[in-house]
Amino acid sequence: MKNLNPKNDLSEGRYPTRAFLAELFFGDPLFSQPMDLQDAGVFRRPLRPQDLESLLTSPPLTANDLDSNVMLMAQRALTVIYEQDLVFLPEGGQGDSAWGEFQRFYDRRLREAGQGLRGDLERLAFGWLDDDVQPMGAWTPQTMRLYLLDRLRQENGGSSAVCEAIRSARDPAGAAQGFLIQLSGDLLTEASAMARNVLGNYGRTQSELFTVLIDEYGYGVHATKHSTRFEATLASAGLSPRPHAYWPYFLGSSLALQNYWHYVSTDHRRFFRYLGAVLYAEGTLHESMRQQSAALRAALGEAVDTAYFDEHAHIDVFHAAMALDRVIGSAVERCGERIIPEVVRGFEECALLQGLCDRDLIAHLAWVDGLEARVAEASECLAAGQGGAPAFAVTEPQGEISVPHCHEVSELLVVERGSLEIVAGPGRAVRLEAGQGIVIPTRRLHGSVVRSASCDYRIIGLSGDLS
Amino acid sequence: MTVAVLGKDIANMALVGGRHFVIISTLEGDVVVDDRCPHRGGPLRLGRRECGTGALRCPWHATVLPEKRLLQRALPGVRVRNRLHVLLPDGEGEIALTHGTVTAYAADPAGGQLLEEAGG
Repeated sequence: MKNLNPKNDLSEGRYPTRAFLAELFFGDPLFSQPMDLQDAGVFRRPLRPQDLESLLTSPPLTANDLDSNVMLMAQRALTVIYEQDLVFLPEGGQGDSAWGEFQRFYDRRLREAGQGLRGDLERLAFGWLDDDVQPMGAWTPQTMRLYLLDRLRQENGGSSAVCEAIRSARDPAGAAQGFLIQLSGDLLTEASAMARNVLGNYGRTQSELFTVLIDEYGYGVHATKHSTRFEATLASAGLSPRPHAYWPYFLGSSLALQNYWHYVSTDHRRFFRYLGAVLYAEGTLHESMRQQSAALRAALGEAVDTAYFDEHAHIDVFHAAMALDRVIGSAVERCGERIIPEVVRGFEECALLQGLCDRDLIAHLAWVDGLEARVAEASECLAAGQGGAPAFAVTEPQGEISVPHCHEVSELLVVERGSLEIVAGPGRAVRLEAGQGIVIPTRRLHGSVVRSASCDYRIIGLSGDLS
Repeated sequence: MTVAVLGKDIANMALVGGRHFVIISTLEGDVVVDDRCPHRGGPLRLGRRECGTGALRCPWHATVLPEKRLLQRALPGVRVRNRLHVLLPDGEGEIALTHGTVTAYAADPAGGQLLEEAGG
């Protein structure tokens, strides 16, 4: 553990500054620069501490910033903070280093630093929801029910744009894998946030919610636990079933979607929003997962295990009715009509977030699917003389890693000497030799690895100032 | 009952069974209300908002609806960014979403003392 300045040490009872906590948290060896971009275990999660300044000085984020680098940083950090409440265990075959990482991940001072940052990070990453989603008017249990049922009908209409993006990709199998990777952050710990809400004592609603929870956990039968089923899907698609095996490649929007559940479940004043969000999820998953199951089989072949998706296509019809009639209904009976605006707010927050995340995922899949086209585009830029524009010059040694991130401007990256690999996903990379370049669009996730003794490259801003 | 999506830039009112429901601005954000003034049925969408209080004055008899009253009359719904998802009441015939002139968005720069509160 990093040595703490005694004046700022939490154990001294003094109030530490946000910057101090952030440096302590982001600077922890578990979250610092990795040796490579391979799966390094569930406890090692690079957070790009070199970008901390941009996080600390960021103005409030909006719905339009879901694909920004600051959002990515905030959501990565929030995922770690929320998941320090969950249980991950070191595996016996992983040796002493995994045991040490296990001890460090749950270290008291690291957790306290994270909790000290959580409120600010939540306001930065989710505060915009308070402005963008506002209930209005007078509600009754009857109008709430009619509203929610009609909204579910609307949300379930039409075909999935994400599934269409997978089908129409140049490499549908790669797109399907990319889709599964983005889901994996959430689905391998599925319903963990829900578990935060079943403690305490709040009457029949509690028991109704618990019924949904134990179903998610397969009633204690490990093979039928939903995350176990999803592990089988990953394995059958040629992907790792280990939690966060693809940590560097998670989009900020994908993490936002999974963190939202923790966001509304850690502060129990948001409990009623949580109930509305659960209804949205349970009421739409049966249709979306039916379409996703078909898209996965079309892209990956019939050998892919879609039992996870097929199970949801069946069981969530039941869960939706249960969430509306028994969970939300009993909560209104117990707490009164005052909770209804919060319930519909949660429903619409989840709907908004899902729509925005789908849009970002589609853009990401297109970027990954078209890497070679972006290399060709760079050749055209260079032929047009854009390579002579003012540039940011970089020299890096062999093996130098840039953990995936994104920028506010589209860039033309040109290798001057050596060899550089641009990575957009696991196994999704292009290797650039001297004289070659790539156009990296605004806010598209990418990393890099130097593949020669050293590498000189230049970065030219195509849509604005690089700073 | 049906949920309709309204927005000032797409459709700012809905016609249900001969009744208009229209987006009105308040200090707490936009809401959708029955266009008929509770006094004599004047078109509230053509009324004026008072600076400062957000109260709405009907163009027919200068009847004033305080902001609190407008909020109470708002249809149940949720503002999502620049869209309003509102639960419309049942009515005969098809629901029509339309776009028309609404003067009740801008506050009246002339200000002025409101003369009375709306009756029932």
